[in-house]
Amino acid sequence: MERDLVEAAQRGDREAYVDLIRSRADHLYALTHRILRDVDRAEDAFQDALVIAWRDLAALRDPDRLDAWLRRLFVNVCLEHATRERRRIANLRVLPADGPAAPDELHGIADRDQLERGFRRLPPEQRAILVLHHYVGYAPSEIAELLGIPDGTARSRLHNAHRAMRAALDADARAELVRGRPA
Amino acid sequence: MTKRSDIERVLDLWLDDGPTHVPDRVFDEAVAAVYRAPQRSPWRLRWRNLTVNTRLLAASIAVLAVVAVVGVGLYALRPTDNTATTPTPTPTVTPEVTSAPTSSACQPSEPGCRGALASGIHFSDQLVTPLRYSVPEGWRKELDVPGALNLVANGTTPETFIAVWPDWQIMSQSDCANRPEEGLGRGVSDLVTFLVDHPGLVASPPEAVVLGGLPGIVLDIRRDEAWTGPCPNAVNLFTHQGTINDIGWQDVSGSRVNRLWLLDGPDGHVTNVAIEAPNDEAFDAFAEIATPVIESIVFTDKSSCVDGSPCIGRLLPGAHRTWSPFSQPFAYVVPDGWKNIFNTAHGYVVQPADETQKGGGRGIYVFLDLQASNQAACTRSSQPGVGRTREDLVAWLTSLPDLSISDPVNVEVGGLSGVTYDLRALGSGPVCGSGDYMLWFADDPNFWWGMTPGNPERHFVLDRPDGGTVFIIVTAPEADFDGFVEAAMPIVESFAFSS
Repeated sequence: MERDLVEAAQRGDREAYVDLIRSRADHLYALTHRILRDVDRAEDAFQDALVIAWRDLAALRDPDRLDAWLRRLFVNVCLEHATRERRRIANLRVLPADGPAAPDELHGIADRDQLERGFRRLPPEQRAILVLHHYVGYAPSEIAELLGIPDGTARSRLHNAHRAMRAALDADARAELVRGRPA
Repeated sequence: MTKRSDIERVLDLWLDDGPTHVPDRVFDEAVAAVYRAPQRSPWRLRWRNLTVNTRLLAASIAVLAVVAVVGVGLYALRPTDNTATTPTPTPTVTPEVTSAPTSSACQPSEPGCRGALASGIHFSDQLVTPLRYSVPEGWRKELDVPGALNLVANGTTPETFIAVWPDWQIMSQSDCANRPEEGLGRGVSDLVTFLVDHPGLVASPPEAVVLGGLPGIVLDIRRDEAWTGPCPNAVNLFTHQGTINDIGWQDVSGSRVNRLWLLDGPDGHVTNVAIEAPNDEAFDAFAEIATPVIESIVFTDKSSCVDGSPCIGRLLPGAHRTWSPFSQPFAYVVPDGWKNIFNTAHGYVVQPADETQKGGGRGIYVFLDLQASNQAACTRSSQPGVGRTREDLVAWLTSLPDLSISDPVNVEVGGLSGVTYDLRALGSGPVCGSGDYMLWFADDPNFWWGMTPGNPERHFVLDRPDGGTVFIIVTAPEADFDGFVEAAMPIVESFAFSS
């Protein structure tokens, strides 16, 4: 049934395509948002990726591989968007006068702001690998298949991404000690 | 089972937290975009970086031959109902989006650049009818001379492009010579009447449009296959005027399809914005991606600019950015009804479109590295003893008499930290100079900034990443101030400074 929908969409049936995408949209948006860490960028990338997927759907050889094909396409679009200059963002805010929010279950290793800052410092490729592993739940071999890279390369990239994240958190913690908390 | 490290456990938890549903608005917009986008057939996917010939034509005009035509054909008008609407600021489909941007591509707002265009706003360079336009990735500027601008998209069929011809006229039809058709007027109505009545052309019903701020007519034309008139290969339609040496022709030979936006220019001449393609199939595919580019065209209004400064003039609703030489670039978003009047190394100004004061009045003024001016001399010399940091400048301002300043509040605007406060002159204020209270100036010969009593200001004073300050000043007459600030703040909130 789903294969029929894919084939219909490949023949130009937009309604079939929208049916296919509707059930996957939440997951693909979540994936996009976690890689880009920015609502505006995530929305732009999500919309671009959906249109590109539609335009290039005929290039999908095996309709049963739609999900992997979509994930790969979305990751690539995220990487492309991550390299663009920030196009627009609404980020005016009064800084809190009483410091950051109370620590939560992540306290003790890093707070959420530190994680956010550390993650944003990573190259987009490393962010994508961390999201695929920790959010999507892909094993390194699955990441390798998705990104079209050797298994060993995927393992080494994941390892390096963990190290980079840890280093980013350490650097942030050191800077925090020097800078102190805002008044 | 491998024991997960601290960092892995933290990432598991942290990445699990976040949005899990796509907003309906985002999904609906994406679906709407899908319904506007054509689907590539597999063979088209192989067409990458295809070089498309442009037609700069001075030498070849002599060999142009025209087929003359008699008879009537049917030619369906393609949808043009969006031609007069404002462009959508959302990112549009990119022909080559999965490829990395070309590092050597012309950057947005980079003057005089040709070749591959980075996504964003670009300006014509030499075209006598100056304009700006927006492209996604995958477009090239092939030609930019006084008499023609040509834009092509990677991967499209050869001889498929957008063209802009200023002072578009009809070539002599009796002998296909490079001179205007005798006795024919040069207004839009004259040219449209000629096209519709021409026995060698099939034209769609003309429709009124406004494109880029200019009114005009849009219609599609193609050669009637039965035409056997005097010019053997095409019906010649051309641009020519004495001051423009770049001659081009509107090619209607063979099965070529042309969509023309014939616009009444402010100089009394007709500017033609055209989509050209060799046949219906190519036209349909190209029109899908070319129409948003055409709809983004704005004919720039130099009269809006503060003397001595470049500017965009009227801004289309959507995303914009400063351009060189402004040295702390930022992007921002405006709704309809705003204009840019000033863009120098240290200043960038956005005003309501109906504001008539160029050097003041309601507006959002962004200045870099302002200094305190000498209050005793009321000149552009700096005030002795006042530094240039944010703290120095705000402290100095607070110390001035006859000013009311609200308590500074910490803010972050577009990625830069600083403070904001409102500023009002008390009574007539500590006036110096010729009626203005000169507060600030910069190392820029193009401006100084003085506060006029009765015109409150909201300041955002931000630290530049490499030292120096950014002043964002929102101001309007007292009676309009609150309402204007309310209208201006979404724009300020959209600022995103480049890192």
